[in-house]
Amino acid sequence: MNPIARAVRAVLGLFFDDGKLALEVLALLACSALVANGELAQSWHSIVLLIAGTLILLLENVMRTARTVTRSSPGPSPPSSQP
Amino acid sequence: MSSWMQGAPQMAAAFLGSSVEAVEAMTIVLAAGAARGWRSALMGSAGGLVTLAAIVVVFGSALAAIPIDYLQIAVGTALLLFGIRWLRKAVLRSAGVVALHDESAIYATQTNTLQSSERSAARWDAVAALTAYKAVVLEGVEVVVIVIGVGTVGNMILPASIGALAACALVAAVAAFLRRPLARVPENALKYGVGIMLTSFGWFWFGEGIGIRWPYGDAAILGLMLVLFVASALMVRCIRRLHAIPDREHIEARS
Repeated sequence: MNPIARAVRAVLGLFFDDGKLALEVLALLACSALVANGELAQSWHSIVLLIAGTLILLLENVMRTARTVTRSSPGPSPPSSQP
Repeated sequence: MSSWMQGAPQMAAAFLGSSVEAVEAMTIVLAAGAARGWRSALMGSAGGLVTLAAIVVVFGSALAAIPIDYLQIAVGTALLLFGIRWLRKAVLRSAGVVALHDESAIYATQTNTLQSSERSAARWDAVAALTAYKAVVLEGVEVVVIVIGVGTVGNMILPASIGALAACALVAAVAAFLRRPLARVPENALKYGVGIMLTSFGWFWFGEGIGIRWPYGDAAILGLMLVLFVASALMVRCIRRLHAIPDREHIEARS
């Protein structure tokens, strides 16, 4: 991989740690924008969709990660040297 | 006075977020300096700071040309993605699923790697300089994203910049005094707090950009932070219960 591709990858990594979560959040933001611009829309519709949607996506992601990690290695992991 | 009071959340978010990034960059610069020589490590760091200044100048002037609605949407999206990434990691670490960040371990690993790589006879050590440069630029870009994200839209770039610079100066001064990594900084708690702040700012700015009228105006950000704090704390409890992970105090007492 050349240095430019590596640099681009590093910068994108700032926003896309878990690609699936990032894409789901982007889709949610698009839906919220559509709802906010709908004819019958009120602000609270979009607020509820934005907040509840983000929290549900985060909950699903951390539960899935916890399930995967605890299945593959039972017990607490040692201190991390990952950033 | 009142504008400084209004800028306090932005300044606090930038200070806390930047202190985490500064600690991470400082650990690698210290390892490069201790293993390969201070002169090259400091030159690499200075080069990294110049690169960051150039990024701020280029992006700062480009952002000024973007209409406010689009800017709110872009900044809100970036902050939300950035904040949710920090929050996800903090929740997993708090629940004991992922190990806590350990600056001493990173310092030891980096020092070993740098000592084992080939050393040139010249006074200028390219490995040390490049390692320090990369650390400063990569962590610094995160600081720039935080400052621009929390400061641009509300015209609070000055308080956010002051918060970030104060954090970097404080970390640099303490590291220069101690000459070892700042392992006692509660990084996970800071990341947790900053993740909550950035996600809340992201919600708020994105909402403003798509035309949401938040109840109580800017004060809604505090309510959003509270919602996120309660929800994420419940997630931590939920993960611990479902996966039978003991509290961290119990883990430490057992080991």
